[in-house]
Amino acid sequence: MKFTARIGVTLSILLAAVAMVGPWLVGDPTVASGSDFLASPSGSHLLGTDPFGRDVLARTVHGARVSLIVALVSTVVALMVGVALGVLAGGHHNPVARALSHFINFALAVPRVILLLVLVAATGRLGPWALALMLGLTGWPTIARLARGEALRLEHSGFVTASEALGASLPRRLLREILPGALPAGLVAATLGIADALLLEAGLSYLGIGIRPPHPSWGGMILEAQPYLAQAPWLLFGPAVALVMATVAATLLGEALRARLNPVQR
Amino acid sequence: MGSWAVRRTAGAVLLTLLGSATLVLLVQLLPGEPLAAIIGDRALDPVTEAALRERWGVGRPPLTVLLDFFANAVRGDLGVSLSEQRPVAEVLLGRLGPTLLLGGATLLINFTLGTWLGLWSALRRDTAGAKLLTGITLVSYAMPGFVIGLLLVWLLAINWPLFPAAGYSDPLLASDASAWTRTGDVLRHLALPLATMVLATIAVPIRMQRSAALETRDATWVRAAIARGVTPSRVAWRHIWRPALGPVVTLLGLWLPMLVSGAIFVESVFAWPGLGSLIASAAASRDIPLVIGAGVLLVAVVQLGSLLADIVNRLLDPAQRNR
Repeated sequence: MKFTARIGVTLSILLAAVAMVGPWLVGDPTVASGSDFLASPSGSHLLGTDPFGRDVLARTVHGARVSLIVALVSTVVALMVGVALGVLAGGHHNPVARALSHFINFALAVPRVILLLVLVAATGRLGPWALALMLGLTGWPTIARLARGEALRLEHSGFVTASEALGASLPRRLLREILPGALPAGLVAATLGIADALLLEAGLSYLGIGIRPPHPSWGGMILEAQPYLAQAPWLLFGPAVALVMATVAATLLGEALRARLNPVQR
Repeated sequence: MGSWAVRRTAGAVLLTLLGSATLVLLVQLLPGEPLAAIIGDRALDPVTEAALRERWGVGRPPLTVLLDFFANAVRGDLGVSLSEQRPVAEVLLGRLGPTLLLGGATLLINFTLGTWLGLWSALRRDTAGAKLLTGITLVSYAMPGFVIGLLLVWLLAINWPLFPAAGYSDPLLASDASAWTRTGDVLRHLALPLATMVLATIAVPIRMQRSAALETRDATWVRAAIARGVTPSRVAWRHIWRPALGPVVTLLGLWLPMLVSGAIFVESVFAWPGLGSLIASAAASRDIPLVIGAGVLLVAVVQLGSLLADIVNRLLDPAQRNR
């Protein structure tokens, strides 16, 4: 395994462990300590405290759980929609497939952030699950494009022609022959998409329209840190480092998966 | 070329219309009539409220609302902003200048510096400098614009106060200041948002130019040129860079959405009075007419950019030019 791939896998496991076990090891992220407002990092508060006296480390660790859940759930949604549409659009020739192809191209042309901003303006701030659904429903087009490309390639391959000649029905060909072949490409795109979902969730929370409080979120913490940059820069460092680490981990993991599943493409 | 250009332009117009329709219909089709609730939450005078309900179709079929939206948009009427109580078109127009300044400057730097760095790192692939650059591009790719922006503010506006941390111009500037002073003031305010935009988005042109140049670097015509004794810099620009330009121009079209979404976050960090910070604050205050108006404009900008990139690409590639 390449060195970068190893870093990606290690970081991902580490972050997943922090998100799963971490919240039990640190204090309550919503409880104010009472006296330590904006305390700098020290033995009792490793990453300092915020203007309400809440522990930054505890909030960062709890934020990991929320961020990763949102990123993973949205990616699963995007993967299912994307691969389904991609296979239907590329796996056979008929007007439905052509229409779906056009639809995928169209969906690729509308910037995702704008769709999300309109959605959030209409619905107000969302909870983690609803936000994950929104991110998933706006994140499928890149996955669909890759899955369609793969399905197009497979549609003309020998084994699909053979199964057609043997009398396999169209649904059977799509499900048994083309879907398994198109899935790896979709999986790679989806893994790389985790990084986008992480950044978008953090970005929306930074704009004050992401996950609804009281759930701690890295983007929301960064927003709260901004007015205190001069007096308490540590408010920024905890969530910012966590966010960048998670994004790098997801990107490297995606690249590693790509190398593993598709050795020709480097 | 002619008929192709017409078809491509028609496609871009169609995509813009469909994109705009999606934004309008999205609000219409969400459960619970969100717009009715939002209008109800604000204390508006009855006449305005009635006009808004009529316009955004509380209780009207979504398709009629959509057709009306287009009919009005053609006349430059995008409705009235809920939070600013002014016509949306007027609000948008006031925000256009700063966005074009920031976006244009970012494009210019990314496509000169980014191209040059990409070519440079492809030619010196195994040097420490090129490896360092690859590492930096990975981090800049993974770092969201608003984090880069805040780090720059912390470094260059707070710890080492060289540049203003926010805004477009100094409100305390004397009203009789000369044009030079005013320009200098805007440029000083532009420095940090521009640096942030460049750092957040330059990774993509560098990577694309690098991989395109890596492919042409080992081409037979390059070896032939070196053997003929063509100078190294001429080989680099004329024989390696020129054929590797196509993919990068194509990228311009794909990359514009990234620039638009980058601008939304970066402008918000620096309170830069452009379209990006406008659509973000409009979404936060749930000003649906304004969000849709700004969204439609940004969708159109993205389509226009991708159209121009395709046309330039066509002109650059002799094999495609006459088709």
